[in-house]
Amino acid sequence: MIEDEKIIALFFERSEQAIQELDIKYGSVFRKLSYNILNNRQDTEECVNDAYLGAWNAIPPAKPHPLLTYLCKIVRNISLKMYYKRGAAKRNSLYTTAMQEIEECLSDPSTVETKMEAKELARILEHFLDTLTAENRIIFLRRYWFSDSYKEIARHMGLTEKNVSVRLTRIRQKLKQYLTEREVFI
Amino acid sequence: MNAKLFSEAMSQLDSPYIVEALVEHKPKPFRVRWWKFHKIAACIAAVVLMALFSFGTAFAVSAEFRQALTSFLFPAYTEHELSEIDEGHRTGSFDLEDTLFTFLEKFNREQLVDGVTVKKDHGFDYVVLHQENDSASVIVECNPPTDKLLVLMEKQDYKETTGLWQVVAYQIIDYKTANDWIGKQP
Repeated sequence: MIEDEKIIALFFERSEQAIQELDIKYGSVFRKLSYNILNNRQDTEECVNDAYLGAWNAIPPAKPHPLLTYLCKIVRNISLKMYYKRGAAKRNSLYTTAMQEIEECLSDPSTVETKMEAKELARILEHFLDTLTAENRIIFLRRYWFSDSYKEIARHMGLTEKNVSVRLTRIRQKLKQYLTEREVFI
Repeated sequence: MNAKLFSEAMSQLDSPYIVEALVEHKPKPFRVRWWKFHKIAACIAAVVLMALFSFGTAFAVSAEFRQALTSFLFPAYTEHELSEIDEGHRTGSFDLEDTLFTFLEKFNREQLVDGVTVKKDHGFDYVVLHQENDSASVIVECNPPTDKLLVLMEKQDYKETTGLWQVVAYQIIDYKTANDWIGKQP
C-alpha cells in the first residue's frame, strides 16, 4: 500500500492518481464514516467525492499529517452539513442515535441554555477526554465522533457489546458530572 | 441544539484524539505469569518442608508427642465409647479386673478364637502374671485345658481420671508355656 507521503507528493504534482491512491487506501474508512451519519449510499458517495475535491483544493499548500485524520475531518464536516441540511429528523442513522444518547445525558430542563462556542466546548471536552483511560477515550470517540455502532466498537476494541454499552453509560455520567462541576450547561 | 453544539465541538477536537481512535485495538492476550507461580510454589514448598521437619523432629524427640499423636490417630476408645463410660453405661473400664472380665465375656460371645472358650465355672479363672502402674498381663484358663489365653492390658490416659484400662493384645498359648511363666512369677 502506498505511503501517505507519496500520496501527498502526487497531490503536489497535481496528479489525479493522488485521488485514486487516496481512495484505494482510505476510501472504505471515509465511506463508513459518512454512511454512519447519513445512512444513505448516494449521499455518502457525494460527500466523499466532495471531500476529495476539498483535499485537492487544499493540497498544496497544505501538507497534512496525518493524512487520514485530515480527510476524516473533512468527510465528517461535509456529511454533517448535509445531514442538517436535508432534514435530520428523517434520518435514522447511527449518528442520530448517538446524538440522542448524548443529548439525554447533557440536557437539563431546569437550567437556562448558555451561549457557548463550539471551540470553547471542544477544549472542555478535550480536558474531559484526558481524564479517561485510553480505552474509554477511544470508545467515546468511536461512538460520538465516528458514530460507530456498539457492535463495531466492540469489534474494534476486542470487547463485548454489553461491555461497550456499560462503559459508554458510565462515561456519559462522568461527562455530565464533569460539565456540571464546571457549570457548563449546553 | 445541544446535540448539534456537541457535535460541532467534537469536530474541533485536536487530531491526536482522532488518530488514537483510528488504530484498531486488540485485547491483551491472557498470559500466565509463570514466574509468579514459581515464587508461590517455592514459598509453599518451603512451608511444607519446614512443617514436615518440625513434625519429624517432634515425633523423634518427644514421647509425649508420639503418644498424643497415636491417641489422636488411633484412639483406644471411640467418642461413643467414651461417652458411654462417662454416662455409666460401660462399666469397669477404670478397673483392671472389670476391663478384663468385659473382654473375656466378649471373647466367648464372639468366639474370637475358634474352638477355644474362656473357662467360667464359678467366675473366670485367671492369674495376673505381672502388673505395673500402666500395664498388666494375665493368663486365663480355657476350654480345652491345654490352651491358655494370654491377655495384655494397658492403662490409657483419659481426661483427668487415673486412666482407662484396655486390652491391647491377646494370644492363645499352650499350658506348658503358661505354667512355666506362672512358675517364674516372683
